[in-house]
Amino acid sequence: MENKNLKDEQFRIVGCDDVEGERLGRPQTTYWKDAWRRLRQNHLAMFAMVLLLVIIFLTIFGPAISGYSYEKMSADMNQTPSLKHWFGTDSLGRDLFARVWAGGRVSIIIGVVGAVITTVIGCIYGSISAFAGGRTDSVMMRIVEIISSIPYLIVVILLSLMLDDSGIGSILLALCIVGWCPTARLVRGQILQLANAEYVTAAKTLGVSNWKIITRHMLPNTMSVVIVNLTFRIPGYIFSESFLSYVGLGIKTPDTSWGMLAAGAQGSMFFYPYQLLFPALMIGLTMLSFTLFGDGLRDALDPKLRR
Amino acid sequence: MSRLLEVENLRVYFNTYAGQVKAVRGVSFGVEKGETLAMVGESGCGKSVTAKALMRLFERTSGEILPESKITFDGVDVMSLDKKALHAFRGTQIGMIFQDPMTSLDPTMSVGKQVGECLMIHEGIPMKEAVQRAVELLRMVEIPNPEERVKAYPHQLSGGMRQRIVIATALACHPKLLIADEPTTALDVTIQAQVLDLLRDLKERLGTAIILVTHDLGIVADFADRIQVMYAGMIVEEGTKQEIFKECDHPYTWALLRSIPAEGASKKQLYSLKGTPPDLLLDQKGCPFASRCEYCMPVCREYQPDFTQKSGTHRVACWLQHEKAPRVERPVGAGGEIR
Amino acid sequence: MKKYVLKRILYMLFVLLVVTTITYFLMHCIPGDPLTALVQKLPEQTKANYYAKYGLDKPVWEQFLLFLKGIFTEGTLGESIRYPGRQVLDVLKKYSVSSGQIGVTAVAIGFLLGIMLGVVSALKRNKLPDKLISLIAILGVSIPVFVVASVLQFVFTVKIPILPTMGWGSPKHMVLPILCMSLSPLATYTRYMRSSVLDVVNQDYITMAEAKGMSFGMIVRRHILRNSILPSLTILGPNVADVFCGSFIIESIFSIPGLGGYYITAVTDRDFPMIIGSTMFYTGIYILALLIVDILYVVIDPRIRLSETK
Repeated sequence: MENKNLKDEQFRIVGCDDVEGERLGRPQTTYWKDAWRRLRQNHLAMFAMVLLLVIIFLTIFGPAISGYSYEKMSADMNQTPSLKHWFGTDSLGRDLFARVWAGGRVSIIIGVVGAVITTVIGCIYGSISAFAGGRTDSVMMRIVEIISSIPYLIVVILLSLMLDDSGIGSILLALCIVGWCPTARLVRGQILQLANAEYVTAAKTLGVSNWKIITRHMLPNTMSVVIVNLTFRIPGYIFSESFLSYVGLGIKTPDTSWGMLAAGAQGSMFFYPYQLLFPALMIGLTMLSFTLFGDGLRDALDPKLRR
Repeated sequence: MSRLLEVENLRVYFNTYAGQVKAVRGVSFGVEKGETLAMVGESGCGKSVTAKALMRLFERTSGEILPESKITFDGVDVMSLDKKALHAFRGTQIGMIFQDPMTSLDPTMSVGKQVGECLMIHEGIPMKEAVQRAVELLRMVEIPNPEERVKAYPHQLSGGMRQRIVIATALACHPKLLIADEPTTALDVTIQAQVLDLLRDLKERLGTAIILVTHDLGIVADFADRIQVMYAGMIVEEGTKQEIFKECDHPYTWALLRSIPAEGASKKQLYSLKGTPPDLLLDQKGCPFASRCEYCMPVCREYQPDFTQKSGTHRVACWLQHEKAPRVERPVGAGGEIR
Repeated sequence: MKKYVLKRILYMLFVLLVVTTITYFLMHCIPGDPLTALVQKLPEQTKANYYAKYGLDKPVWEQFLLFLKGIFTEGTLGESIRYPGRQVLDVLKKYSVSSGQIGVTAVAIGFLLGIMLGVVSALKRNKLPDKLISLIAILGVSIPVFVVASVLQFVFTVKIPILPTMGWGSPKHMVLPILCMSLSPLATYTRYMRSSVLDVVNQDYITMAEAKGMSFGMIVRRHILRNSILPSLTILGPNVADVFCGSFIIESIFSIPGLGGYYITAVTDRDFPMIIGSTMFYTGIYILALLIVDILYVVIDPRIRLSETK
């Protein structure tokens, strides 16, 4: 330190200024803002989101863009994709571009609505069970346990047969009747865990009102888990619907869905592979995008991964 | 040469999404054989990272020990050890006790096996024999009924017991140096005293050198031979216990000492240091403590102070030691008086 | 431990009974019955005789009691209505073999390979192997099994005809169906395992094991695997059931005489005894899988043993 040319005036005590000491190095943001920032940095998740928006846009406007009706038959049977029919036509001469997006409507509506309904039911059931506690809780959980002991698809198959009218509504009902169980368990577990968390105890000790504890601590912490769960369930329902339609127990003609289109094309796969390609591709892309987006959302919402 | 451990210019940086966290910024120190060195500082000052760096425990993390760092242990250049030699080095030369006994034991393995693992690897004996030897080790750390306890799983033991298991594991292969990273922080006060007594006792019986990492100056007072005070990844003052408690010269050390509750001084308000440590992401210009220092001078914000050697063992990095700096009285409560 | 298993088995039987009851009554709510198609053109008297033969003229609860009586006194699940003379139990025995072979092998391959890939992926985090494995895993969870099956069938029939794509009989016939069915479990386990290994690797006890001087390979075998496999085990049970359900499609695509295809036929035919028999079979397998997983859990995680036996 001797060789530095230090002046005398640099050696007078000025003390610390408190403001600078208290200031934290990084800007503070809210939880949701921070999550959004992290999500935006995840290119894969953002790409999946854009892809999903495009797919949803096309399921809404696709049939109109094509200029054909998805159920109108014509003499152009089994046409390969061309400028006239972008995705080709099927064995009855129906335009596949229109059919794929019309089918997508059904698939996506079932996926999204199914996931939302089961999540809502699961949340309500799970939180009632968690808050009630004691006997009510154990009875409610036993019920869930028994319902989830039945292989999922078997229930769905039986129910979809029972409801028989094979519209979107009855398939949704069949999927939802058993689908809420895992969510109920998840929500109950999360709430019980949070209720015992030290910061909740601390908040209670400090006299924070129950309402505020629920809105400030319970809700945001449960919400993130539930939202991520929701995102992962959507592709599950899309798959279940396509499965049901594929084995002939789901949507029936004249309605259509991706699963049905794929099943219909299965037989002539060796001759007209494109008929299978497009619906299969759409199912795959949609499920992939939801999964990727869910992954990104999970990473973004999990504060433990915050860096 | 006689020094057991010699660390020169140790730098450990962590690469994170937010940028490079410069956790340890050029630390040099040494430990003699059989000596107890205490590393003191508040949370996040780099003391744990320094301790872990001695065994190069960053291989799989985002942490990186910069190549200019030099660690010599008992004549061995730790930085140049290859993988195999490093594995042989860990456990046999240096043992480590971790902060939280609740999380530092594998929940799915019986404690006997966990203690025995060390013997199994380094002495090449079968697991069965290793578990038998673990019984002796458990007896050494004063666990009652060790024959039964080796079969227990961590969740069946109390925090104090678990920490004893961790100590037994660390000492299994008779390391020459034991690093205790906040060994009592997660324990009750009464258990803390027991564990410290045990450590002191073992130190005397086995002659192991100890590096005690802690933020609690209170437990250092009757345990350590030498103390080094760290702040924001750097050592700011180092000296024998006497020198630190009675003749310390760094304003940060003063602040630390003044914030220990003194006996019989209950009415007086406890001193508390204002502000927070600097962000380790940022480059440090000037003295790291400048922003919180009551005696801060313009120069402190410009240049980093070098060490001033006060005695053979006592050194301090502060501009107040400069010949041009005004003389400052050590504040009341910061050592110098009866102790 | 024994007491625990016994308790679980009793509970399992109870669940099976509940599920059977529910299914039985649900089934009878389905519009139409097995004879509708069969007796359409027959005179009234013959019709009534048919209904009487299968007990379909009695109230549902009486039929149910008779059905239960059959199980407990004669150990029979009744006779198929659409295919007279076939005992449901025999059909189950005969067709479950092929389904079981494919299903069990597929789950086993998916589980073991998924665990391995998950570990590798986590340990090589953000490096090339991780990216490749994650890509496979994400494709595996998002491509429906019938798409994979169709593509494989297309490739192996048209492009490289080295494996049979239809039928059943030789081990060669099993390759493609197993490949299809193991893909989804494989991907699921890989994803679960990756995230749980990433979690475990950051635990203090891993650092402690490193400080003991253990090589990393040893740490993986002794500490990481055991601790990170638990979440994957939890989904093993439901997964077994999923794979069996997946077999509905796989069996029909690859023309395998298995239970899956038979079940769908029974459902569309309203063949009541067959439906209830197969449902019981599937539920039984599912609950058994759950039980095995629970026991494995207790074996692997000592913390559970304590809380359960208390």
